[in-house]
Amino acid sequence: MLPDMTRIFSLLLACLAVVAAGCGGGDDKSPSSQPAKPAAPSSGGASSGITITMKNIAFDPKEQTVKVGQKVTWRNEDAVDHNVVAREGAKFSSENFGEGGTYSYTPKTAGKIEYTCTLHPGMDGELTVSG
Amino acid sequence: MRVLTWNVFHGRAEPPARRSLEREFAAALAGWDWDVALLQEVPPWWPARLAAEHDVALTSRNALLPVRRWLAERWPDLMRSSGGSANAILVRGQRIAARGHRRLRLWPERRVVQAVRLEPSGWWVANLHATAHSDPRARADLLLAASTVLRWSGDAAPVVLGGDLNQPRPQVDGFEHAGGHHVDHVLARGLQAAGRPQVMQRGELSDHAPVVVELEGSEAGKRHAA
Repeated sequence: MLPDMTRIFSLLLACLAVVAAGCGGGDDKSPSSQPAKPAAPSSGGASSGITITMKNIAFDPKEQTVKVGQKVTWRNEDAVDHNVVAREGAKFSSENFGEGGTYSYTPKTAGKIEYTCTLHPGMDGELTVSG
Repeated sequence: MRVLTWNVFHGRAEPPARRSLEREFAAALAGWDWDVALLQEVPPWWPARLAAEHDVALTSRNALLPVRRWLAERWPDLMRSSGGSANAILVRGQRIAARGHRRLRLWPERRVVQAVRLEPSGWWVANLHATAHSDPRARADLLLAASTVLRWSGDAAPVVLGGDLNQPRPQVDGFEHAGGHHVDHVLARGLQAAGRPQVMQRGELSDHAPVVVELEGSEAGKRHAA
């Protein structure tokens, strides 16, 4: 009796799931995949911004040249949280953010900025800001 | 740190109680001494009510979850695994600083490894429910979960990987076996067991026994970190 009832429930739910598939949902979303809101200054840049991806526990590209006033956005494409924290040349520090999350910073002065993900030792990057 | 791992059998008892046992499971968990609890086959709406600091990874049969929940809360032994399922990490005394989830497979059932980085300890703790009824698949789940968690944690951080591994003697490169019971085990890197694993008395709750393994920093781990 019980197995039959379970199969009936499973079948019913499967049919409902197929109907509901077009409405989105599903079970692939995890709490960690909520995109993080940008938490850094994002003043209008002098030119189009650039994006640095965070994938396979590394920044890509690891070294990037940008102009003063050009917005830099880091995007997490890993399944694990990351952050972006300046070590030298600037003062910015993001919260930890999960897959799909972004963080932006716009440099105001020329120079070299070294940054890191504090959660993953060795995950470092560098911005060269030209005037 | 005391790590508990327990497959909670979709909140059911053996023999069936034919009613929701959420209160009984919550009371059992509240009464045991642990710092991190790794739960498998958890009704997805439970973890938030079991610990303020927690992480949930949905596994299989979670489409139309509100409908499943409504049914499973009334007839848990009729719905069984069709009531929705998740893995969960509960934390006491520390804060979850970072999280990672990776899907390991979709077939024959969706499997996920989840991991959290704890602060202030800096330890990574991962939870896995490996595929059942197939040694090769369970082994493959464990290998992929282990390599994923080691990549997330970096070279130096202590790492715990535990759960229902569906293997009586799990072995994976990079980890030492710290303790376990039947198919429920705790593996560790940079840590060692501080004593024998403790199998907790759970009455008729679940078809798995909860196991607690106490871990402490190993000399090898300290050398590795240095």
